[in-house]
Amino acid sequence: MSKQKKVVKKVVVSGKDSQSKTRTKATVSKRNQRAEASEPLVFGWANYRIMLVGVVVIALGMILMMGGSMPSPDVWDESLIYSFRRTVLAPFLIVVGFLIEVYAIFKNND
Amino acid sequence: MSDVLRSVILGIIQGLTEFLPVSSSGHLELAKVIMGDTSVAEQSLFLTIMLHVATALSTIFIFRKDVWEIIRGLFNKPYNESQAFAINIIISMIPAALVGFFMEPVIEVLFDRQIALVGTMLIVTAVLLFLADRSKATDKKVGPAAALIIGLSQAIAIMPGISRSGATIATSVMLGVDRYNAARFSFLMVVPLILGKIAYDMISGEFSVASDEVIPVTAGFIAAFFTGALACKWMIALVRKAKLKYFAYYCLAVGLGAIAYAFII
Repeated sequence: MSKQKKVVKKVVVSGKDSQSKTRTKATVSKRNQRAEASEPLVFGWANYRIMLVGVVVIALGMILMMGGSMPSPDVWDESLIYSFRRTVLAPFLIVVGFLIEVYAIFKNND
Repeated sequence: MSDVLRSVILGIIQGLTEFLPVSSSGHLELAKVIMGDTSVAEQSLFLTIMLHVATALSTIFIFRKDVWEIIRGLFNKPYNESQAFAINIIISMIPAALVGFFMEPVIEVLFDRQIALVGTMLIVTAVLLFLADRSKATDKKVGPAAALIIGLSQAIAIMPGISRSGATIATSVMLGVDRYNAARFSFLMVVPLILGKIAYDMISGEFSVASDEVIPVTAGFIAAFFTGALACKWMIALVRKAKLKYFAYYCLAVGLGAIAYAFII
């Protein structure tokens, strides 16, 4: 029994050592994981600000796309419907807004 | 109801149903029949496009590290995992693109207000979700053959009642793909399709914006983006923990209810 106890004690002592080592390893790996997670593509306020700019540009595109209706049912003016502003400029701005959103998502804040 | 509130609600619904396996199109068909309201599906094409862009952006947002790695890997010389992933995404898009191009109008007519059929499809979704939860966890990744089969399930999911995310994730998991990779592949595979469809719609110039639509569409866009991001994260967690059965119960209940309703009315 006494021998067994001694053995147990030894095991317990080495166990403490291994436990503390495992704990240290776990802490280090957790720190590494956190560091890895925080290193690339962290989403911060700068990203949100750029996203807001994207939303404003999209809204501007939508405002430019408005209109196109005839002033009266007797009038037919193609230039009102298919104007450069509505068919080229407005969609272009909306697409630029989408691209700004994508840039905001991928922008790194290092 | 104010236009802003209506757009925000539509944005939240789009954000949730894009990721959660409940079939938005199936619910829309049921709502049309039960509420007797033909205007349920009628939202402007522009709002629809904007809400889809918002959920595509929320997918990119959640998987931004993966997407960034894939983009970087595409330009590296030796054939790598990112290039393989991109090729698999392209393979998976083929069946849905073909079905969308040749058969979507036929399917829309066939399923218009056919709630017994929609109910049956919801039960199919429920079965798929049950099977997905029961599949063994593995560490396998999506290969070209699996990508094609997952693509086929996405094409079948064009039918109202079958959830796209549910069908594709269930198929992947049943093929032995690791749960996280299954969810990642399912959500990323649809982004190029959505963006391609949007580019097509933008070029076709078939939409216009009414003067009172700017603020509601913007509000709906923001709501869809944030709801979509939350739903996407939630769905990944549910897939990982094999907790899709709750959605399976829901789809089963709604499916049975729809079939019962079809026979009573």
